[in-house]
Amino acid sequence: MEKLASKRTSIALVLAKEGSDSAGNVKGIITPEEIGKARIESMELLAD
Amino acid sequence: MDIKNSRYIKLLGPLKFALISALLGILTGIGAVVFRGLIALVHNLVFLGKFSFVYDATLHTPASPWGAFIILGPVIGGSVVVFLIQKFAPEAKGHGVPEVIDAVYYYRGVIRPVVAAVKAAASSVSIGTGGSVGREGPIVQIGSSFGSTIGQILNLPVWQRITLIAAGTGGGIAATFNTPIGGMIFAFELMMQEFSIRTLIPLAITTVIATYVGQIFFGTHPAFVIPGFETPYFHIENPVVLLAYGGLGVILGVASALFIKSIYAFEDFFDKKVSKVYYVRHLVGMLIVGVMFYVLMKMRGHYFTEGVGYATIQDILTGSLTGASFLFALFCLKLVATSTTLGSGASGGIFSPSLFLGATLGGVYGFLLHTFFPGLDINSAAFAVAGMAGLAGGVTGAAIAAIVMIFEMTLNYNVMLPMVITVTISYGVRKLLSTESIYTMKLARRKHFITEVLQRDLLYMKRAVEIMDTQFDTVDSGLAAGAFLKELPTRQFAIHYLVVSGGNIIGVIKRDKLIEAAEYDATAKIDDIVEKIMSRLPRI
Repeated sequence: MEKLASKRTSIALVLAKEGSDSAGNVKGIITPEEIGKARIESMELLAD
Repeated sequence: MDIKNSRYIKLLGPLKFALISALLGILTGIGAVVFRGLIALVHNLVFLGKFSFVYDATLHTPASPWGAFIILGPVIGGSVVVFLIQKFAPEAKGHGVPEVIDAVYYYRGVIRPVVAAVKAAASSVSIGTGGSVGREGPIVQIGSSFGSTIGQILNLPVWQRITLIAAGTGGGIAATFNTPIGGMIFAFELMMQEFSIRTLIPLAITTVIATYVGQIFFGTHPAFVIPGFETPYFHIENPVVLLAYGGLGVILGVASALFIKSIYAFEDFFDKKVSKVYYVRHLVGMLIVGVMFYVLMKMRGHYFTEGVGYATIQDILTGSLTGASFLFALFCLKLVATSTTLGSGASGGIFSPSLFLGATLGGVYGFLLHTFFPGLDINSAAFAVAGMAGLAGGVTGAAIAAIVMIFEMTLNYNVMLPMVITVTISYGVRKLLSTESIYTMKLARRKHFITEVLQRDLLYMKRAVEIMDTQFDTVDSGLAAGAFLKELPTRQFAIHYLVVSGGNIIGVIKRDKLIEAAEYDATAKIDDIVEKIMSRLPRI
């Protein structure tokens, strides 16, 4: 478990209806990986 | 002060940030006034033996009463410069702007407060004693040091500290040269990582106030006067002349690359061939510089290559200094003088030498065109102005700033078209011959690479719904890991699991990590497993 603990997941952004922390309202999740993928897609538009 | 690890980072609201920017404008403006005053004092003491703060750089310095002993002026000044730099701030050596760019991109906007004082003192001595360097690099380092210091004292976040550095840069340039728009664009092109309303307003406030402070002491007149353009309205009748400016751009691009290579070749030469001892190599270099301007005085009546060189530029613009061969000789001598001054370890900028080199080369080009194509109605002064902008833009990479600054320094819009053509072509040719600008070259040599490209971040155009992961499922925090693994084949596929307790989210965990942990200890509850590895308290 210690080994796994060192791989702690970084902050995720959970998208839900405003002001609600109920699981039923969650529409999607954005983690740094999703942001990274989107950034690469954006950069591809500018690449040679 | 260890800002990086500070726990008390404090974001200033827009109003307070604006007030701090105004304070920075006052400080930077005063800094520019003090800096120019120091240059004047050192120059008058060394060259004329007078205690005076009055110094008009657009007028030639009269022959020194010390005669040939004036050669020792730069040598004595050099020893003071080495002492100041070695003792107090090694980063004050050189032309200054690269150190500020380095601080912005590699050191989170941290510049030591002592740099402002040492840079002002060392550069005023380098310039005042006849070193072939300019004022822009030092004032950039002085203004940005003020900005960074304020940011450090107030524990501002990195973006606000960097914005103050850029604002100090713009304000310093603007106050020194009376070029507010050029100062802002210079800061934008070279320092800013972000151009938005939150960075533009502080930059504008600082620049405007610093310029105003500078105008109180230096006046509102432009740096150079070009009588030939005042009346009648200067207009290029023959479109072929515009093509000629394109040719000048190509020549200036080559000259820009040559200037960049020359500065660093001389630096390597002095370091490897002359001496490893800073005192020795700099004093040798400054002796050469002193001999050069003294010989010019004896042969042609002026110390053409000493200091910022504005008097020579003014002569070219007014048409009192002509002759292609002598102008070309001045170009070569200034190139060697500046490369020797900076290569041997002085403190000063390269913008003013760039203007000198560009004016002489543009003057040569214009003179030759006028000689060989008299029907084209060539105005040599216009080519000299375009040359100034073309070389400054090519060398620094701050192309738009160069165009605007030269416009503000001459206050003549008539030469705008030639400048745009010349600068852009010069910049392009220089880029082909030298990937790095004179600023980024210094950083590239220490493996700190800086992009000269500014691109809009298209990520900001994406909506959250376009990039979010919708393949998620919920798992109860009280569920046993073994039970979760058994349920897994019957569950819908999910990349993430929301860990919930009583319907409320308590965290998020990736599928792979949850399975790995569950397989490691099937008896544990999900709550226990995720306690150590999930992202708790997600933002909703």
